[in-house]
Amino acid sequence: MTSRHPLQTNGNEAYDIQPEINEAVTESGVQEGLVTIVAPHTTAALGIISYHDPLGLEDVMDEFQRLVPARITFKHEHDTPQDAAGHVLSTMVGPTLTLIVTGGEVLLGHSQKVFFLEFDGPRKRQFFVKVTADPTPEA
Amino acid sequence: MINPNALHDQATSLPALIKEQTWRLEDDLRKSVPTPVQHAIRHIVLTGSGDSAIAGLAAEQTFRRFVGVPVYAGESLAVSRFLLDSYGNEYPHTPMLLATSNSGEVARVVEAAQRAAAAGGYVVGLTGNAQSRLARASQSIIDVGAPAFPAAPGMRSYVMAVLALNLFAIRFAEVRGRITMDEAQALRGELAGLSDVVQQAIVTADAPLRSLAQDWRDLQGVEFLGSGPSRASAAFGVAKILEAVGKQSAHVDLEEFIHLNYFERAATGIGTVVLAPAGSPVRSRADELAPLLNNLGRPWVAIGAVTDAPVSIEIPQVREEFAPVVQAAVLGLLAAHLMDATGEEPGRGAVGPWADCADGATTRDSQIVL
Repeated sequence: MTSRHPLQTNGNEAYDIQPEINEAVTESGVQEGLVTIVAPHTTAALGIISYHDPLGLEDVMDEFQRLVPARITFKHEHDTPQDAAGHVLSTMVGPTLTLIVTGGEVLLGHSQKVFFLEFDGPRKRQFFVKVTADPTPEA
Repeated sequence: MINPNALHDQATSLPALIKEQTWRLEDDLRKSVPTPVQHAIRHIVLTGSGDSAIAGLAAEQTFRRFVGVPVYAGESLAVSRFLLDSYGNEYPHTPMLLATSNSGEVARVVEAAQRAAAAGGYVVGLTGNAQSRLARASQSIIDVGAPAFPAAPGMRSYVMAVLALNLFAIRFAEVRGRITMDEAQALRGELAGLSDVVQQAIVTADAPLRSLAQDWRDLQGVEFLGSGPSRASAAFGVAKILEAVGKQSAHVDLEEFIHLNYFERAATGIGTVVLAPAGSPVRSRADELAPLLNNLGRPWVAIGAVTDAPVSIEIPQVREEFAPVVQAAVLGLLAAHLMDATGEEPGRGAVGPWADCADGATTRDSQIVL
């Protein structure tokens, strides 16, 4: 089962998408399997981050900007400097994640959540969640 | 001899032109100015002569609203021999000069481009001739040539230039981070969507303007009143009347009319066109003007709904920055119908006292002074 989730980002921030993932897993009824999340974008990514302190999320996004700032000397000029930087960051971080589903829940550490990382906002975005069950052993 | 209906044909060809060319222009100009140059912009100057100068005036408000740097739209002689003297290589790529000449051979525009380059500016040439003197004087060139069409007092090249300049403003704003990519794309979609708006305007305006032209055919002249982006359309209306009909014509700011042209003695002999788009901040002043025009006995028409106008041509509301594209079609129709009604030869046929202008010689063959 694959579900689509629209997301309107307001800027270059980390967006908590764990609730949608959890809901998709619950609705699927899968007890043991995998959940794959895909962000079909080239200037956004998915990351697992500690969520307890919102400032920690800001640190992560600030570091991305420090590592790959939106400079005007990118060779890719089709869109904007922020877009060019976003392509690099998306490639570095990656737009997909696959996690284990066990006991009908996503297997994550107690400080972990999945976040949608916007590198070229604000934009209309979307992500997809697919839940697959482990193959049933043959009788 | 030019077919007197060719101007009407040019006007009615505009919806297809806008539909076919907007995204082509966008694609061409998108990467024409490097990102570092766009970020270095401190001043923008839009220039040309005739319709091309008016195109700059028509797009000026879009630059002003979205790009965030000072912008000035001016005729090529003043820009070349007065304005550009104030620049002296103090800042890189300053000014950014967007110079329009469809032929690329108007001497004054070429001169402005050369002077801007000498002053350290960055020159973008908007022309339909990549081998022209303007093209050679420019660091970036954009082809604003419209597909071939039977000759007439020009409308298509004007609309191409206005579209291109507006697209440049949107692109500069996008790259400089003043608007988001989604907002930029939405604005481009609005521009492309003017195709349908212009079609609606033509359907609405054609018959009333044909009738009006019959009433106005013996008038001494035609004046056009507008402000902001509509001031450009007022200037464009004058251009078409002068080229197509040869009557006296003038454009004046809506407010300034009351200070100046109001006092003309021959009021009943001057057809007057008031440009007041729906939603415009000048509408209230246009409504105050209406009884004055009626008291003067001026024959007049409102393009837009103005209270107490004897004739109103209501056209669909668009973002006011983009209104000149729609207004151009309506004003072209008026000039076309007046040309039919008067039987006048466009450009006076370039014969007799006007023989000097044959083949554009009077605009092309002028000494370039650097």
